[in-house]
Amino acid sequence: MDIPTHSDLAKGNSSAPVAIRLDDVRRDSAFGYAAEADSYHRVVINEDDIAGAFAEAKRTGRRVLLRGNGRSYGDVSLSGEAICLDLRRFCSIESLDRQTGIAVVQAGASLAQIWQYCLPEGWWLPVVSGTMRTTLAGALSADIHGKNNRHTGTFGEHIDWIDFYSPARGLERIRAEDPDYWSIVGGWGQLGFIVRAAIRLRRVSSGNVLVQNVPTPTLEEMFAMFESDRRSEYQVAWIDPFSHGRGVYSAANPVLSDEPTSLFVEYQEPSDRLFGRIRKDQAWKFLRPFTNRTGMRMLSRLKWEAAVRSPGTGAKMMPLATYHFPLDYVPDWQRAYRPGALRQFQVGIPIENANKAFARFLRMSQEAKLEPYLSVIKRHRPDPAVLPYLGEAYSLALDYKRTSRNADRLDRLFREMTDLAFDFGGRFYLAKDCFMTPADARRNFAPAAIEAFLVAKRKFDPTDMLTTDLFRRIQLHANT
Amino acid sequence: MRNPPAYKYAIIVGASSGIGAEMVRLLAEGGCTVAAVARREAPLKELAREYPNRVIPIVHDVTDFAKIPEVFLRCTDAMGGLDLVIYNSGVMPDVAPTEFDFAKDRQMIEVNLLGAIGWLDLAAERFQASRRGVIVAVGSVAGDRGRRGQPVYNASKAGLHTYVEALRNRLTGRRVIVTTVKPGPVETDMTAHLGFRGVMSARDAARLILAKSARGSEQYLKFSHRVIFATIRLIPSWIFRHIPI
Repeated sequence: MDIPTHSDLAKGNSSAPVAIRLDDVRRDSAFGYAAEADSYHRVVINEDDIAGAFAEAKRTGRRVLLRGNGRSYGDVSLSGEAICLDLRRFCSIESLDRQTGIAVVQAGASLAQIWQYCLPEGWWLPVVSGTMRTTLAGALSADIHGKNNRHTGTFGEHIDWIDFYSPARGLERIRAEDPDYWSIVGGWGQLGFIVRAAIRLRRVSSGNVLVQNVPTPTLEEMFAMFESDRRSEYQVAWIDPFSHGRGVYSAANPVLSDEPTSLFVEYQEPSDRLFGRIRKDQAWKFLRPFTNRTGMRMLSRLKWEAAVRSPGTGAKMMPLATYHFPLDYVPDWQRAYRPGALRQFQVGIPIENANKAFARFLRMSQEAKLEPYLSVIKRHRPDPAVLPYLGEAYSLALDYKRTSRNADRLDRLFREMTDLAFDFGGRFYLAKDCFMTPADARRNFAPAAIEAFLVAKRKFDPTDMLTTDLFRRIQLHANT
Repeated sequence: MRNPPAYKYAIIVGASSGIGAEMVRLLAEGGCTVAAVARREAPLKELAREYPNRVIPIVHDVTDFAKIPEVFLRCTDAMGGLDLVIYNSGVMPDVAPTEFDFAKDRQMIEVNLLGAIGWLDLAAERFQASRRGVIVAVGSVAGDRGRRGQPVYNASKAGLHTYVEALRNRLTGRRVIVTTVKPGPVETDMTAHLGFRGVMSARDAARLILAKSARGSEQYLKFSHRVIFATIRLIPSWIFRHIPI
């Protein structure tokens, strides 16, 4: 019979066997829907699954992507038509040394799993992102920064060793002193996959932090607070994006002695309801009516008024999880941006230019009537990664809503702000990027940094098996 | 007329001439990457030359059924994704009023119907898994009734309409849009021997098909077609058999 049945075709019994199953295809979106891609999903249970995917990729010429909880805002962890290894079930906490605080954790474990396991033992993560959904592999490949970056550095600075699997060299243990360590950590998964890491946790005796909020009527006053308050461990500021720069500076420090019950997970996350009524998983729907200029202007004003009118200026206690993970306060809040998309403009500007640059960004957005809905400032110290994000700098993260109606205007605004940022010596963070061009990337990283990265790329992944959509877009790959 | 949705990656099967080639052009002009699939290589190369980096020429005979899965993957791999699949291949050989030629009939069933099933089954399987995508089958008003002039062409298009309707029903709730478009007379190579005059151009038909691609259900290209063919469908068989159309 010259016509095969469809089941023959599906089983690969025809003359052209189908190595890839179409029913494995999944569409993954960036957090906030700014980018998306289809890939062939596999679940990783152990290291053999990674070896198997590499072998299959070599055989078929297909690319491989490791994906965790998908918290990047751009296309750095998307790879169209690649084999996508879903890491979320490779998530054991293999050991925790209760004396030294060294935890050995598999790469798919989220920061939530780690702190929930370790906090009752008196240990906390040294650096966390604004969401606890980040996986360990994501945290290391993006070398995440926290509100304590100025004092504590990046996540990668608190690791003893990693187990690392690359296409060219297989599985190997890389210690933090190894010369390749800072190419891999902060290497965006372009060299290989981190499969486990030994994290140096920090000892805590309380599950609370002491938080002090100070309203700052101008940007100048806000930067003055950052610079005068050198002792606070955690520093962050919010700016009213509809104003000329008023905002709230927030500093926090660990509580030194407290009730042991504050370390319990139940204390950290007491309820699955907001205000005792709204189910948290449904709360994003209540944000939806406000996800527009009028609504956000109103909420921003309310936040400012609340800060100004709050009784006294004394510090208040907050559970660690509530303080550190504001992005999880309303789960899936990005869905309120649908049917548009959340586009973040996150840039770091050297200290001397930050005030001027941030004021210009705000004014440009306001003149274009494209005010961001959220605007957050943090203080940074130099990054050790080979592809570094920042030096001594302030970072500004601006959340915009991109719709079919404002897409062209927003792209123009991003273009103008990007050019201005580079003029001020600015740098962009790849976890938030879906905009940079190849030329932008060469302004973002020094030539020596690019060269060092490409040397490592050619050493660990010479065939570009792991190159993701972002790195293809900015043309940083082994064949560059 | 509404603009077509902003597709990023599309496969057009039957892309070398007529409506298919025009759809390739329109999609490429809109910034879409298109895998242009057809039997004849020269016109595909011409399209690829017109739109470098946008059009990927893929030579394939839709009746080579065993090759379809491999060619499908070649298209998606080359593009890096898939949003839209349009099955536009179709043949309508000249059939005399008294002629019954099995070879011609078989060719019509193979190209117009079996090829569509080979391609669109794969599209449906993939989109069902990714829970996103648009499938368009280019049918014909000729599939609405069995007419004396083209029995098997009518049957092949009627079969296509029913198959696509079933796909649409199967994929409901999976966020996959399945659309049947039913062009009337259009000036193309396929209809050149019929001597149509003053009918819709291939470019206009292509523009309308893309504009209606994401609507789901069955779409005529003109309102007048919808009225005329709704009426024709209502004519009882015992009258219709006496009408010379």
